[in-house]
Order: sequence, then structure tokens, then C-alpha cells
Amino acid sequence: MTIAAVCRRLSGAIAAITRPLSVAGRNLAALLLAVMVGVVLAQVGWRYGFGQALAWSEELSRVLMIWAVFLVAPWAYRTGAHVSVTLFFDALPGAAAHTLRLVLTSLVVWVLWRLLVESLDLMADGRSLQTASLGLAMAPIYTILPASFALMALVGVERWLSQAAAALDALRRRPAAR
Amino acid sequence: QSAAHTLRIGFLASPDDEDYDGALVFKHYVERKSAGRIAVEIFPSGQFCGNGRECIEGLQTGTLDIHMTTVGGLGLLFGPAQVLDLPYAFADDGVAQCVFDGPLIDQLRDAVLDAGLGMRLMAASNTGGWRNFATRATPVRHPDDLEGLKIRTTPAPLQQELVRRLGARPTPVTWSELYTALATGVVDGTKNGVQDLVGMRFHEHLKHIALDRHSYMGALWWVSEQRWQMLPEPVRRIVHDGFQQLELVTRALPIRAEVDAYRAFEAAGGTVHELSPEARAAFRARAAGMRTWFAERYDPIWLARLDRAIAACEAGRQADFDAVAGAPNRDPTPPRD
Amino acid sequence: MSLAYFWIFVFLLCAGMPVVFALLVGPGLSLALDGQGAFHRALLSRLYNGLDSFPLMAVPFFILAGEVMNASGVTRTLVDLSRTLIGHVRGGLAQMNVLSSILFAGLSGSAVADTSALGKMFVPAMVQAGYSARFAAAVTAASSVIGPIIPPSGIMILYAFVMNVSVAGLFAAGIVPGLLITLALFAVVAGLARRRGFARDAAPAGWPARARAVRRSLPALLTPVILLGGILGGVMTPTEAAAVAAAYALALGLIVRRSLKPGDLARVFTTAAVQSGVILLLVGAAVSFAWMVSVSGLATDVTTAIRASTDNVLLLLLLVNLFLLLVGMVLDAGPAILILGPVLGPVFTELGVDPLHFAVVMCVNVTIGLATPPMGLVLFVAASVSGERVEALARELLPFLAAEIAVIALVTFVPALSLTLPRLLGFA
Ligand code: NA
Ligand code: NA
Repeated sequence: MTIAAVCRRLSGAIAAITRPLSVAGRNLAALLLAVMVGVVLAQVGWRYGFGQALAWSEELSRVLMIWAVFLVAPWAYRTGAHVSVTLFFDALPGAAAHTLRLVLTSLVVWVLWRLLVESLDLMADGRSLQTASLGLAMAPIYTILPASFALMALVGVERWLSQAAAALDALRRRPAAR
Repeated sequence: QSAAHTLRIGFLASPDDEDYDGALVFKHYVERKSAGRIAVEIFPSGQFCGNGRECIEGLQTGTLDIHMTTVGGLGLLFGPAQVLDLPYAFADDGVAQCVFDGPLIDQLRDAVLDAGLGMRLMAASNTGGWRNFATRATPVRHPDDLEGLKIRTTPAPLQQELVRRLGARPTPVTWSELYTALATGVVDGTKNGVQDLVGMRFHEHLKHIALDRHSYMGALWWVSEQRWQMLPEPVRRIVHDGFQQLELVTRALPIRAEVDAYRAFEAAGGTVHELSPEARAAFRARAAGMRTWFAERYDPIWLARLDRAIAACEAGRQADFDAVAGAPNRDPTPPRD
Repeated sequence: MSLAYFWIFVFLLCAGMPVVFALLVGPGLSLALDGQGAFHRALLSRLYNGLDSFPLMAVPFFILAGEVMNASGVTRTLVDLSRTLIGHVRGGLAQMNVLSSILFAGLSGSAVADTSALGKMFVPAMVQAGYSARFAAAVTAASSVIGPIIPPSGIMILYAFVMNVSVAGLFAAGIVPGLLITLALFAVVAGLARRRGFARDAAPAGWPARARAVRRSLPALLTPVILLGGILGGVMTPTEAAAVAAAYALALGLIVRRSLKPGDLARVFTTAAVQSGVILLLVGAAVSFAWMVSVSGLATDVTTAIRASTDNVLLLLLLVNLFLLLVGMVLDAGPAILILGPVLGPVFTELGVDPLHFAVVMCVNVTIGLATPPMGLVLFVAASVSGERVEALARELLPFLAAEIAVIALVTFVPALSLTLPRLLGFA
């Protein structure tokens, strides 16, 4: 088996994990968005219908929004939904483009790894703090951070492997064509 | 660039606030005294950290060196601190500042350090005078006037409970949405210091302030304990003295700035209502249950500590007055109403 | 701290790294190289807390409202209305393209997304009616980049969030400049229609047909009324109004029109969650980047440099206009505002420019830059939706852009155009 094939096989194995998880995250985020609408409507309704402002609705909806954002992120990365500027990249010759792509993906994986480590530390430290109105501990709220960064980093590795395979293929094709 | 230590001060207030003046005096003092070995960088307006929780986490992990919390902000971390926010506890600036200079603050510093919260209390000062009720249309001269009004509060349970006990409806609104909420009438009023009201241009829509002075806007200045432990003894001394400078400035400035703020408020067509003694007593009576509220949640020893500190300060002030007036010696603890 | 992070960011951005990651890798890498890795915690902390804002929640709610309206065909009723009202005028469908995209564009905070959504609806309809695809795409691009100036507007919410100005005030400030641009675009379309002798799109519709179209589109036309009325009338904060708008759109699609099947809901909510997740993560990353800009002293340096260059506020505004038009070439409006707002806004506020006035200038600019040749994201999207070549499309866009740039100049140098309305409503 060639190295390219090994990369591809590994990438596929990782995809078997990242695909269902990222889809599940995205779907859960859609559900949370629906709950957010409900919570904020309740906030307006209670103020005008019952003359009582809810103390917890704002805080709850903020937590839901943050969770939704981080739940969507791995799926967005996996499907290339994040905005990028590709004007200059498209102008690059093949070999340079393959190399650049691998370097960029490595950097993304590195920064996601750093954020993963930092978010685990944040959870460990965050135990003493509470949210302002519901008095919830921060640590469980923060769990979404390492979960999301870990899955995104895994997606990054998956992409890196398939990009490496493509680069190796291109390398092999070129001398043959000459 | 030759500085051996860089201290980063981050807080939420803007450069127009006396917190910034205090930080500036601190920076000037510390950099001068240390002959440039300590550099101080100031990040106002939430540039370094955007909310109380985030700033406290920064202190705890040592990314931020110095930060100011309000009493309510500290409450997220250390509930008993809210004893300083109990309504109508301090009679005036003199008593409040005396309490903030006394043993209660040392007890608070020790309690926070003992709880392993990673921050050391360096100064207890003021940020913006006193909280008062300010309303759009209804003049508040008695707690009855608050009945049913939607009053904006922070989401802190103590603030909400106070508003509820006074007969109004606590309505949490984000600070940045409050101008719109007041302009359009989503809320009927808010409770803030007059400088914040004028600074945020709320006086364009608020027409009445009731001077009930329900809480002294305490400002607690902290150093990251992690950083403190890394500082050599002589540097600690300079930092400590720098905070004393900061304390002098941030205590005095709000009293001065208030004068202009009230003038601006009245110039914009607002009315400031000084309360009658009867009305003041009625406010106190309605809020009296807040002590029980506190005792049900936190160690009541803090209530005893507060009472002791206030009694000592009021006695001291009476003694000062007697010395000035040449009055005959009286019972040193006058009855409190 | 060195300024390496800024150049790393620019390089990664041009190299094609997703903007959200480039915003994090730039500062992250530069801190690591400086041996300041401990501050990665601050980047994470800003990323999380940058999102922890109730006003920001208007973004997902507006996106949801827009998605629901498209999915339930509410938007299409507007096209029908335009056909019956002014379909018989020369260039009537083009005029209505302008009007409906200005009313409903700008929900998402991404002019690129708006162009593709509106383009998909209008370009085929216009081609069918006999316009060239090139002209149809140009009208769509020119009008949808300007949608976010008239409320509701996603990018204004983003601006209000990063610069701490009132959302309602900013909405009010955008109305007159937005109307001016609408009028300018109407004039351009009318002029071209006469010069090119466009055919009339339809025979004049009878009054009964018009009444029917009005009745059918009334619920859609009510959305901005509910939104602005709710906010300006003091019933709701802008965030709450956004949630109410989303719920209203849902009720309209599910109950009143019954064009939205419960089965469509999952798709609509998923699309909205993905779109808003992408924008909001970018918000968080931009807040992290802004932390680095402020801690490294870059913001202060830029401020000092700008102040030292000239005292002439008008000249500075002119320069900043040119700069923002250039930025619009590579960055979508949302990211441009998130990254540059915190740097530029305070400079001009300190020079005495009203924050709301500068906000409007900046919002108009970054969106128009998107459609300015030689390149721009909206230009590319419009080209791909219509199947036209970019150069051809760019030439077709010139008269529209000339009109829009003239309005920018007017709005820049006559602050009263943006400030009068918010002052009357008590927001400034
Ligand atoms: Na719009
Ligand atoms: Na452009």
C-alpha cells in the first residue's frame, strides 16, 4: 500500500468518528436555536402578560447561544462553511498550493490543540465562579469548549491526511507525465 | 522595555471614570518609585476582559494582574462579600470609608485568600458614589411610589430581592441595551450612581432621582495572588503604597464629580428629590428583611462583623464631633435608626 | 509584544486560511514565538466571552427570520406585488428587485449570503422577463449590498455590539442614507431603462389583481413594521424584537400561509443555526484578535499615527472611505466591521465625529466595497449566480456604483443625513 493510500485510509477512519459527531452537534445546535427563541419569547411574554420580568431567561439564552455556536463549529469546519479569501490561493501553481494547504491545516490543528488544552485548564479553574442570576457553576457550561475544540482538531487531522494523500498523488503523477 | 515586571490593569469602566484616574495615579506612582523597573499598562473599557467573571478568571490564572470588582461582581465568586451591599447600611461617605479602612476589609481579604480564590484585596474604595433610584416619569418620594414600576437591576439576586421588597418589579436589562430600554420605556427606571446615569446620557430620558442612597458603590481592587507571590518584597511595598494613592483618588473624585453630574441632570430638566426622614425610615423598614435574606444564605458572622465595624465608625465620628464642638462626653454609641 | 501577529494574520488570510482560524492563529503563533504562551488563555477567554452577550443574540434570530421567510415563500409575494404594481413601467422588475432586496436584505449580516439568496430568486425571473443576465446580476449586487443600511440589519447589530452604541439608534441612523441610496438606484435603473428602451414586463395589472397582491404580501410587509414599531415603541429590546420577528415568520409560514410544512422546520432551523454559528464564531475570534490589537499597543499606534497625519477630519473621513472600499475587496462586511470597527471607531469619535455618524459611514462603505471592481466577494457571488463573467458584470455595475459612491460622499460630509432621525427619536 502506498503512503497516500495509508493517509486516505486513516482519514476515512477518522471521518467515521467526526462525521456522525459533527452532524449530531449541528442538529443539536438547531434544536438549541429553537429553545432560544422560546426562552426570549417567554421573556417578552412574562413582562407584558404577567408584569413580571424573568430573572433567568437572558442568562439561559446566552448559554444556549454559546453552546449552539460551538456545537456547529466542527460541522462548519468539516464542510468548509467558514469564510475564507481564496483569490490568491487559486493563483498558486499545484505543488506550492499543496504545500501551503498542508502548512495551513497544520497551523489550524495546532491552534485548536492549544485551545483544547487551555479550555481544560479553564474548566479546572472555573469551579469557584457562578453565573450571575441562576447561580450555576461555570465548569459544566465550559465543557462545550474542550469537546468542540477536540472534535475540530480531529476534523483538522482528517483534512490534513486527505490533503497529504492528494499532494502525494500529485507528486507521483507529475514525473510520470514527463 | 527595561522593566523587570509588567503589571496589567484591566477593568470595565471607560477612561472617563474615576477608576481610570485611580489606575493612572497608581501607574505614575509605581513607575516613578521603582525607577522604571515596574511598568504598568492600563486597559480600560473591557479591552482586556469583557465582563466581571472573565476578569476574575484572568486574575486567578495570572493573565491579568490587577482588576477592580464591584461588590456584586465579587458576589459571583464569594457570596458573603455582598454584606457590603446590604441596603441602607452606611449613613454617609464618612462611615462607609471608615468601614472600608477597618478590620472588616482585612477579614474579607483573608477569607478570599483562605478560600483559595487566587486574588489579594489591595484597596477598598468607591466607584461612582451611591446607588439611587432614578425614574423616567414617576417621582419617587416614598417607597409607595415605586409600586409596580419596572426597575432595571443587574441579575444579582440581592439587587432583585431589594427591588421586589420595595414593591417594584426587578427587570434585568443588559447595560448596553439600557439606554434604548429607558428611551422607549421597556423599563420605568434604574438604580445607579448619578455619574453613570449622566455618563451614559440616560438623563436624556430619566427625569427623577430619589436620593435614597441604598448602597455605597464599593470598589474592590485586587492583585492576582499568583503574580503577588512572584514579586520581590520591595516591589510589593511599592505596589501596596501605589494602591493607597489609588484609594485616595478614587474615594475623593466621585464626590467631586457628583456635583457636576447632578448639575447636568438638572440642566437637562431632571429633578433630584432629597427624602424626608419619614420616607427614609419607610425605605429602611421595607428593606429590613434583607438582613434575614442574607443570613439564610451566608454565614451570619458577616452581619455581626458589619455591625461591629459600623458601630465603631459611628462612635469614632461622634467622638470627633464632640472634640470639635466641645460638647460634654456622652454615651459613645448613639442609637441607630 | 511584537506586531508579528498582525503580519502573520494578513499572510494566513491571503493564503486562504478560513478567516476565523487566521484570527486565532496570528495572535496564538506570535505569542508562542515570543514565549508568552500563557496568554493563550486570554485568547480563549475572549473567544468565549466575546460571544457571551444578549444583544448579539439578535444575529441568529434575524437569520432565522430570513430563512423562514424564504422557505415559506413569503418573500415571493413581494415579487408578485411588484409585478402588479409597477410591472408595466419600463424596467419595473428591476426597480422591484431594488426595492425588495433593500427591504429584506441584510438580515444575515453577510452581504454575500444575501446576494446569493436574492440573486437566485431575481436573476432567473428577470432573465425570463427579457433582461440580460448581466444587468439582472448587476442590479441584484448593487441593491443587496445596500440592504444592510436600511433596518433590519445584521451588520449594524454587529457594529453596535463591538462599539457599544445603541442598536435602535443605529437602525434609525441608517434609514435616511438607505433611502437616498434607494432613490439613487431607482434613478439609475430608470435612466438605463429609457436609454436602452427596456420592454415593459407586463400589461398593467387591474386593481383587483393589485388588491389581491397587496393582501397576500401584507403579512410580509408587516414584519419591518412589527420590528421597528416594537423597538422604537418601547415594547421590546432589539434582541427581543428579533426573536419576535422569527416567531412571527414561523407563525405566518406554518399557520397563516401553511406553505411551511412541519417537516421543513428541521431544515430551516439547521440552516439558520449553521449560518449564525459561522458568523458568531467569527465574532468571538475577532474579539480575541481585538484583545491582541489592544495589548500589543497597535490600536494606540494607529490612533497616534492617524492623529499626527492631519487635523482635517473631512480629509481623514475621505481617506478612511477609500481604505474601507479597499478592505471590502477581500473581506465580507461582517468580518470587516468586527476587525476594523474597534480600531477606527474610537479614533473618529475622539476627533469629534458622532459615533452613529461614523457607524453609518463605515457600514455603507464596507458593503459597497464588496461590489467594487476589480474584485469583491459580492461581485464574485453575483457572477456565479448569473453565470456572467466578472469583468462584464463589473462594467455593468459602474453606473450603480457611481451613484452609491456619490451617496457615500453625501452621507460622509453631511452628518445631519444620518443623525437627524435618531435625534428626533431620542437616541442621539
Ligand atoms: Na435591511
Ligand atoms: Na470590492
